[in-house]
Amino acid sequence: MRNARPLLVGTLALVSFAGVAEAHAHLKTSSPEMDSTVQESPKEVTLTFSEPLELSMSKIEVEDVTNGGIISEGEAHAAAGKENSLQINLHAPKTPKAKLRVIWKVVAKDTHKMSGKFTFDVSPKAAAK
Amino acid sequence: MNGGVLEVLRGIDFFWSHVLFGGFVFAQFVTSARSSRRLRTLCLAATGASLVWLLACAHDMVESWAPADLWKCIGQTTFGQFCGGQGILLLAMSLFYPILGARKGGRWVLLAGSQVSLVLGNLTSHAATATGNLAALGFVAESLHSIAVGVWSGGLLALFGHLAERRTEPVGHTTEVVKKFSRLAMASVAVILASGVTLGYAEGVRFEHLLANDYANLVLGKFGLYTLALAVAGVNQFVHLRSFDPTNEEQVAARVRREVGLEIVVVILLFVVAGFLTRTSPPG
Repeated sequence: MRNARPLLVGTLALVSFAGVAEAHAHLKTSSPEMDSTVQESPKEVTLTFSEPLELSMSKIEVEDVTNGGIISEGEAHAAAGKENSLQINLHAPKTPKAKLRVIWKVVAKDTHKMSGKFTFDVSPKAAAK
Repeated sequence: MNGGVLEVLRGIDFFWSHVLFGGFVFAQFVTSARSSRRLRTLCLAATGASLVWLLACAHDMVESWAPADLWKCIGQTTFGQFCGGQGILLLAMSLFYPILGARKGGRWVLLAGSQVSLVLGNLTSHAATATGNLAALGFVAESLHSIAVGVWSGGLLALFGHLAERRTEPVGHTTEVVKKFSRLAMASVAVILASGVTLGYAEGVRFEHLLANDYANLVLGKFGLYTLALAVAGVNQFVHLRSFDPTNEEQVAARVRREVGLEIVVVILLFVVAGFLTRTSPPG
């Protein structure tokens, strides 16, 4: 059909409209806070995001940078029933003083993926000072 | 998936689901047409686009093409359940179209089904999943926006097809159809503008920061394209229809069809920009 030509040209021109913007959402708060130092190893890590999450698609992992190994246990779950939060339980690191890295990968309910990492330190003596 | 592929697929999914709804509205309220093969084709296109979007987005979330992983995503996420539900609904409409399309009551069922399909597709949008004071306002604005866009875009395509078909109709019938659709389209664009501004506000876009972030830029781009489409529509409304010569309806139809074709090109651009918008986080 002759008049389909402008339609096709328009569509092809439009398909080249690529990569303008990337979806992203934000980690609002964490407990422990990123780059902080805590006196004793926390029992869980809690992350709060700017959007509600798909829990089945979201993961947190906490690794012991100082001694090696993963210290998070079980599946991540919502903290206190809040849809925009994620929490995971920890067992204690091998040494009282350690650097821990939190690695998170989540999917929001509007299908946006987010990922990131941060560290915090466990140091009884530093905190006491 | 990267490089804008998801955005384009989302835009295509948007396009077909909105055009399907608008096509049914056109058939019911503008031409009062009986069952049409074109509408069944639209059902199938919308079904295909919905399923492609479902699989592509599920793959993006689980980063795997393994059927078990895709099924887990579709079965266990809000997105998968709503989008999967939309796909099943559209498939059912396509399969039962020959039966429903032949009955007056059945055509109302198809119209309602296409509207439900639109709503299901919107239930995992930014506005639907947002929290905060403006969340309800945003969701209502988005729903109205979606319905009005469907009426306008689907109607344009249906009108284009209607004008292209050769049929023996009484003199004045084509002009009457164009005038009826023009009235419907004018109401739709008014709702699109009002709901679009409201939705932008609810998502945190502010007039003084229209160049401040990607989301606002895309909203501005959409507004520019919308204005362009209105300008083209204005030529139909205020030039061709006003200079209508009842002894030469075919020439009027040809001119209107040309302008409608241009509007459709701009509307397609709008849909793909909308696809990028849904994949961009709003500032609010």
